[in-house]
Amino acid sequence: MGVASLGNGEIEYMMARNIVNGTDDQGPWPLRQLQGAFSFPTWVMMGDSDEVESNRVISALRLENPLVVLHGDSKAEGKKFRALRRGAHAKGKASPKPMNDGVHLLSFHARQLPDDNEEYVVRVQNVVAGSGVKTVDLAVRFNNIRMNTLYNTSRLDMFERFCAVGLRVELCIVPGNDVVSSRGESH
Amino acid sequence: MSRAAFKLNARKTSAAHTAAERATAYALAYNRPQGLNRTKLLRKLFPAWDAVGIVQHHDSMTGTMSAIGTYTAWGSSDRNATRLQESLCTASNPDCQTLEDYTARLQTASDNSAEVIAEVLDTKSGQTEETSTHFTVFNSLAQRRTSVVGFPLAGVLDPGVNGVGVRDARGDPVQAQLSRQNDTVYIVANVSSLSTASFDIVSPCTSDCAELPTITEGVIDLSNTHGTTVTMAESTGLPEKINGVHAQHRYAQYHAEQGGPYVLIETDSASPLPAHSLLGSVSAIGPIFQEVESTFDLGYNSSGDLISTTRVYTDPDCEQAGIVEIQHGVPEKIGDNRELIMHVATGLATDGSLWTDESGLEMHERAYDPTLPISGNYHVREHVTVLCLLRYADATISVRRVLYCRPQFAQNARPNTRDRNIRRKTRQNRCPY
Repeated sequence: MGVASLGNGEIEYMMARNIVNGTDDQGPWPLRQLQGAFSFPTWVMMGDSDEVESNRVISALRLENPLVVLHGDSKAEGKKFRALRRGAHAKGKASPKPMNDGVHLLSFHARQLPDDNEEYVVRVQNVVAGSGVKTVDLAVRFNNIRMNTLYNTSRLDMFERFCAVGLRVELCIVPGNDVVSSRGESH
Repeated sequence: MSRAAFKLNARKTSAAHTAAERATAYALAYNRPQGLNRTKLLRKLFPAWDAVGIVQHHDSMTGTMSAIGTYTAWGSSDRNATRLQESLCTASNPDCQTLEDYTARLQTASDNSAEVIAEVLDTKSGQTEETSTHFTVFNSLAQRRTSVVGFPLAGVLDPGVNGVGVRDARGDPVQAQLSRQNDTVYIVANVSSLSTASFDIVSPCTSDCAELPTITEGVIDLSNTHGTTVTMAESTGLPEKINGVHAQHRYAQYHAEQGGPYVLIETDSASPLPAHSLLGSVSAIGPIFQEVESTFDLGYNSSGDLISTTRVYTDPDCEQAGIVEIQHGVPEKIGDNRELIMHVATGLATDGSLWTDESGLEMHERAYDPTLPISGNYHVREHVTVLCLLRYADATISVRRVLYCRPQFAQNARPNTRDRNIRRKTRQNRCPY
């Protein structure tokens, strides 16, 4: 759906439509939209620009990735789940440390390799524009993954730059949001 | 399913897939528990990833765009976008032109993600173990988070009989609040980066039990010690001021017979709901949040009422403390030939500028074009919509107020405007991006 500002200081956003006889002849979406009753949220933040700007994207990422709530039972937790939960304390294996403030873990996923091993893709992003250069040491943040090769994957914006030297990855702000990417493999 | 509901599901599915992906990587990299079948997990995640990708691509397709003056991010004309949609569908699934196909893909992605994360965390999904009183909370982001979460009670416990309480993994009581309907219990959960926390719901409860909110008829003003304040209007049942700034919320409806791409081609402003459409308001105050629920009759033979819930979270340290949440409960069918909107008027000088974000989280300006009909000034949203409020006095004063409303919609960029906007931002730095 969409949003518009049709007057000074005004904003409006679409919520639902029900056009009986109209068509746009495009896409699979009917203009007569009937659905089971549904509920959706909007969130509003107001403040001075510095305050809102420093929290805007961070808040959006949190709201779009809410804590996942799962039913569980203690019997199952005694097995695999507890091992995962206690990862930070497992012998010789420290879990990932939290990222710096304003640095978002854009990707963290596993890829299976033909040799029956796997590699991990880690991408991080500075999400507070104008906050200055941030340095993230992925070898420390992901201290159980042996970093292998650093490489760049994509450019999302003409201002994004990738700065990678060894295992230290520097996020450069000029002035958009920068993305860096690294590849490692497990022990 | 309406487009709005579909998009909401797409965003939720994307978040669920991300969580499943990270939990899997975490488990494989750090704990590789016995019995965890890596190949099976990754094979389940792939179709989920594929489905989320297809759906997100479709966000940029025609049929989702403004009518005039706006185009997709994929080409300079609707024709190009249509070609892309057709090629994408042909390559991935010859039958994917139907809404049902996209919906089925989303459902597959959602199911697969739920199965993977349940397997990795060794918990049961809500569908299969909904009578469990044990809950696990997983944080898919790489920062420690303090956030309000709700545990459903329906079919599990009846708090009205013996009361319920929430206990953490050590058995210590956790402050909790029941919903007005007694069907959900809310707590503030503190969870480490890429980690989990466990909670149990106990009943009967004799001490440190979940509290029922104090309920009153009519509206109340909402606030927390974080500094968030909401002045509610008795006459509308909706926010009038936020943090002392005028922010008059109103539901309104467009009415037209003429269809057009994305939204109707309209020249008349939407009509605010009349005063008599507000059927009533009820307020609730509890230790976790305060809220005002207002019910509206949309008229025009809509199938039910519109229910709006404005909420402020109490804990100053929780991540929701600085925001005002509004839940919009939309009935199955609004009136024929109507489009329902929420309108917010701040009264502040904005110079006609609206900023919306792209997939890289960068902000692009959408200047108001008076030569276009209303539909031509509508823009698709990705994560955050920013109404950039400019200088009050002269160019040297940089005091600005910013409002953002979180949507759940798609990405868009008008052709040939991207570079111009970026250059403008660089030279003038006149607005957040």
